Amino acid sequence: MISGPNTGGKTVALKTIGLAALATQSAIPVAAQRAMLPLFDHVLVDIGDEQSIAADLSTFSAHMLNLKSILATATRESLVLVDEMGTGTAPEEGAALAVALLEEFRAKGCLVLATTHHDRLKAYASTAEGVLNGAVEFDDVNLRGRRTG
Amino acid sequence: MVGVPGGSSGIAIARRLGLSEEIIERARALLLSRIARGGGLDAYLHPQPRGVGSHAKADGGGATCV
Repeated sequence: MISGPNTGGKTVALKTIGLAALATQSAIPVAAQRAMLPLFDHVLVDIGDEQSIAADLSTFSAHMLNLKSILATATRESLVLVDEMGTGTAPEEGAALAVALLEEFRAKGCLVLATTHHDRLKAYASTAEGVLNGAVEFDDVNLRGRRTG
Repeated sequence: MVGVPGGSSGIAIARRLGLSEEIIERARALLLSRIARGGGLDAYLHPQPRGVGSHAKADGGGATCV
């Protein structure tokens, strides 16, 4: 569960991991000093806003439909990347839905990386077994994210 | 409805979009436990900030404590 300041690089972290995973599976060297990556059967992603008048999709419904199809596909060998989990609705409802979805992913045993601004999801990650918090630091002098380690 | 705040009904919409009943029920239970513990609808509509982890494991662990 990745959290931290806006514009701090949470989404970039997800994309970097996704690209590295896909590169590895295509026998392309990963841009890292050292990398050890498993082979996944799927790399499943919900990043960005797919809202569309033509497709009758709101921000929220696009995320929900995406997550629904990711859940239907994911196995314990899958990598799942979810940006801004539980957004697009009332924070409490979004967080409750996100926790319920995360529990399904945990039951499946897939590797999930999700970003959030919900304190409730950070609290969930701090107590639930098999879930770990990670943060992008904030440099309060320059008012921007600071990535360390 | 001018002058009235509106609820989001995110969980209900997620149900209509086809998320499994299991997930919907779990989300609803999590939301209701939060509302019940947090002082009812008024607190839900006007939540006060809380520290992360201050309520952790309060009811014996698991996801219901978040």
